[in-house]
Amino acid sequence: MTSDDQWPFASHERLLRALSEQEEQALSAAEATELAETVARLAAWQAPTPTPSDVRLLLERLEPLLPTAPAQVERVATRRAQAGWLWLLALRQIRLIPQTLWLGSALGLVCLTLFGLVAPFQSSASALLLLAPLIAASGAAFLHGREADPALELTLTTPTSARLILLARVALVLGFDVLLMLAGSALVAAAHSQSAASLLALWLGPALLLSSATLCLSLLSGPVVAIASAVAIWGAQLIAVSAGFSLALALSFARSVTWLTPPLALGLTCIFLVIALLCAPYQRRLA
Amino acid sequence: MRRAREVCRQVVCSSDDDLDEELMARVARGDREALVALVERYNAPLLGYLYRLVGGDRALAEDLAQETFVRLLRPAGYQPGRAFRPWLYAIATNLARDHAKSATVRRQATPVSEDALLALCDRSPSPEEQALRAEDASRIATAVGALGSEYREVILLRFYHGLSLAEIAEALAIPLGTVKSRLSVGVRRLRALLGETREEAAR
Repeated sequence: MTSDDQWPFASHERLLRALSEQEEQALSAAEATELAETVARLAAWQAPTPTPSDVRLLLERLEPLLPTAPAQVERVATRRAQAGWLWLLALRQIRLIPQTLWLGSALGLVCLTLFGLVAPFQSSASALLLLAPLIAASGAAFLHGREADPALELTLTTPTSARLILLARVALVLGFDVLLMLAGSALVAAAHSQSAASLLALWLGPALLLSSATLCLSLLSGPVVAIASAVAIWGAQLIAVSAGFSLALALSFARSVTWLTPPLALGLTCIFLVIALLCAPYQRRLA
Repeated sequence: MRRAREVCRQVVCSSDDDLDEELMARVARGDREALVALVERYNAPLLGYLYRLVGGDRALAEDLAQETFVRLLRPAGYQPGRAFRPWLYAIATNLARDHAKSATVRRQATPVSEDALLALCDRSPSPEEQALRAEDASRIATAVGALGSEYREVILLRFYHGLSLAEIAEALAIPLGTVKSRLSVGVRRLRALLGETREEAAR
């Protein structure tokens, strides 16, 4: 590029247009000509142009400063843009989550359903209320962390955020448990000609709340402490009402727990989940 | 305004002439080719701007131009969607201002040497023509150097680099009305200064 190329007002008309554009009031023809003449003279002051070797040296200085690992960043960005990427992430997590966790939850809930089918409705409802939240909570305790996931170190080295991975796992495991419990509740309610919604209302709130609290605790202090705490909290609630620990009384306890309304349970669940997600990247240091 | 400029440039530019903003976005992702394209596109204009802004000190202008490109590559420096050219000139202007403010700098508003100007001519005019041109360039350099920096910046950006009024306002972080008034006053002062230097030369 020569210096002449840098002069953007080669034509007199363009220069006049530029001058009139910058003036608040219309310029008289005489003044416009005078100003244009002044500005046109500026073109005579040429600036140096860099030589090819100057450009080469500048590029040599700049190239090491270019952001690194562009290919990886680009690959991740492209992958994220792909439809169904989250679905793929969830599918990967299904394989990474220990199979015992799926089997344990399924076995517990199937047994609970079978018990509900043969036992009287009140007993089966009490059993659901007692055990369903604990089964869900035990699954949540092993969602994240070195003890639950031997490949955690490897997972954390990937560009995918630890929070997103945890969220996918929560959705998968809690979703799995809730779906099984829904099916079980529907079967039990149908077998006893009762409303499935009333049965559902018994355990869904406590199950979500206890699961999210256990997940949060497992990130802060490990899965064993979390499960022990969940059992202690849930047991203490029941013992507080019934020293005899009768299942029938447990049911009446659930009905009498007015403080744990569905909105409150859901709100507390969300709070625990948010805390868990915030803690997820720092789990190694916390647990 | 920006949309119109983009459309215009898309129509006018050849297919391999990417928008500055696209190039810069690629540079931010570590694309070497985009960096080469940006440097080839803006090194000369930037050097010219800084050279005139600092009063004809080529070495200083080169240092500042290089530092401008270095700042360009700082992580999280460029916000996608932002107009590139005003941002680039804003960095350059700020660097020049910082340099001018530094305590070690003793402003030397010496006119550009005629030998240097003669050496910079692209064509090969006659020696008389070269001498006249160098003399005129020297007068202009002196007159532009005599302007206040606030007027000098807007005049250089507007008349040497063709930035729109809005782009200048963005680059210098001043209102559009201020750009207009500084240009208006600056050109008139320049006319007066060039008139004076012409009279001095005639005497």
